[in-house]
Amino acid sequence: MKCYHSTYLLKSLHLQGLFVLLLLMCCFAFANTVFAQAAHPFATPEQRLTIPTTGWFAEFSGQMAAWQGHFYRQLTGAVRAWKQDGWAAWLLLVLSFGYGVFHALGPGHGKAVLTAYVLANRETIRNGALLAMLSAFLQAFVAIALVAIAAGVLQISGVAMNRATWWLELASYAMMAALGAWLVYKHVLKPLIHLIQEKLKAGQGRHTQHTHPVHGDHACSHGHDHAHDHAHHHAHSAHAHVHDESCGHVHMPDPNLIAGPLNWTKAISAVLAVGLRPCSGAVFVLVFALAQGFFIAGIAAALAMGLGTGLTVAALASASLWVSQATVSATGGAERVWGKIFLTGLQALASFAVLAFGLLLLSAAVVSGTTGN
Amino acid sequence: MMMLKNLCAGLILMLTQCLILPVAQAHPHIYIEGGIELVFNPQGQATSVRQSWLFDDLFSTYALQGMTRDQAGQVANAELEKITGEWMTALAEPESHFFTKITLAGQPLKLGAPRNARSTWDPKASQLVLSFDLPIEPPINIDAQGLEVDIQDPSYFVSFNFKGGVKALKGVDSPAQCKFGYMPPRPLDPKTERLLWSIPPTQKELPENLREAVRQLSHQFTVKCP
Repeated sequence: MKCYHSTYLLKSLHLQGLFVLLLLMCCFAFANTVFAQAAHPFATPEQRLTIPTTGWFAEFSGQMAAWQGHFYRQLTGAVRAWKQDGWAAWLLLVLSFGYGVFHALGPGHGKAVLTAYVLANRETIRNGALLAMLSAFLQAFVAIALVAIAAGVLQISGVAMNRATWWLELASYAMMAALGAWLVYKHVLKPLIHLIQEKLKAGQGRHTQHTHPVHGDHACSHGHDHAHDHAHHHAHSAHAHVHDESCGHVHMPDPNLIAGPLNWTKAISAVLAVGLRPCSGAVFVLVFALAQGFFIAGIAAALAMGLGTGLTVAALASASLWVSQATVSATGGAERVWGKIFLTGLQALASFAVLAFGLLLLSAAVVSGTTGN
Repeated sequence: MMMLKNLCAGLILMLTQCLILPVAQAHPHIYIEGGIELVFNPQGQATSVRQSWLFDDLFSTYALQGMTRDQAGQVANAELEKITGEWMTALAEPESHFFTKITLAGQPLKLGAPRNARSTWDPKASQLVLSFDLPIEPPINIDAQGLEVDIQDPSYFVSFNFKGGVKALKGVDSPAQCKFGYMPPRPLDPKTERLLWSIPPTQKELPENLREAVRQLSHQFTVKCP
């Protein structure tokens, strides 16, 4: 069905190059707005970026952070208590779980990036929750592995461990930016290019009707399968196309088709992007437990934190997906114009959000890595 | 819904001004129990402010991680000296400046380079303490208007506590007429407190309404010698 002429292909390549160039310029603009910041005198492996918010949300996340602090301060006592009395293990587990919950609700980027990703990718609620749990547990496992290897086996210093965490951070943020760029390309640029191509083709089609009688006025109603990279064996019947005469129709795959099983290649990159950098609270507790000769308590605490964080982010991501789906239903379903506009807009916004988070976090990490530590 | 709103707020910010500043997390990660001594010379002039900071368990363990220790768990001196040096260099940066402001009658005093900086580790009590002197140059006579020492981490990353209140400040060879006072950080109303917890510390200018609140959060020690 590739019904466009080779010149169109050439034109589209030019267009795509232009968009990539624009995207890169935008990246640099972002990076330049990132100001150098001095590291804190007592450096710890702590994330360095949060989106400044005001109003009730800032108040809410501040309260969450305050509660997180209350749990945090009791962790060492709980590790010691467990060492004395096996039954006191539940105290550490409860405190760690609580820490994880309020850590996820407080200021931080993990939940935002994950939620944006599942919205951009239109995952099902089940998959969204699964991804949240996976990335939270990956975070816990990375912390456990980092402390076990760096502190337990190699016995490197706290400063060197900050450095190791920084590299994990860098990898995680680079992955996030790449994922964001890919989402923007797929959900914003590609459909846009497709739309422009069709407009051009429609114009050209009329002008060149005498030389290309085969294309004619039908040019625009063909050629719509090349822009979709999901399961092609569903063929045309699967697309919720509006085949009107005006040629300006919106190409939207039926959302019911996307909400299938998880695409693991994409899912793994999202989980890595969020979960590769360990949470500093988990690292601290693990190092403390190790120094107490009671590493198992640290592992239990890190896993309980992961469970708390995972369940909370899963709930947030599911709620966002549910709201998005409910909005679509309220506007008459994904096949209707308003449902489509909402979904496309949301997808675009969420894609940009992942890219923006990735770029900002990445440049903040690079800046802090070159000035601090 | 909250996420959506957060997301939208973030995106609107991004798209309209492209000026989202990356900032550190704004809640305490390190807890310090502090102690202060104000040292006087034989002429009755204040010469230096000596501080000792006892770090919390988690930070202490993390900071000492990987250092060589003897049988009793004591950390090698060379290692402690090294980390002390690193901390003092970082603390000297104007942004934090030892988390200490010293004023005489409201005017900031000129302080010399810190002396006698050392860290001690007590393995039995598992206590790590950093202590140092900030010399007042030149030594000054404290009058009735008084000297004030404000301790606070402006980034709110370190949370200070002075258990003994005014007793946490000791005078060394202080003239008899000197009176010590202590004003703890004034509890903020819940709304301001929540706002502060969410304020990015690297934001150079705090909003007007929060600037006074932040001053209110420092530990203020006063010495008056009428």
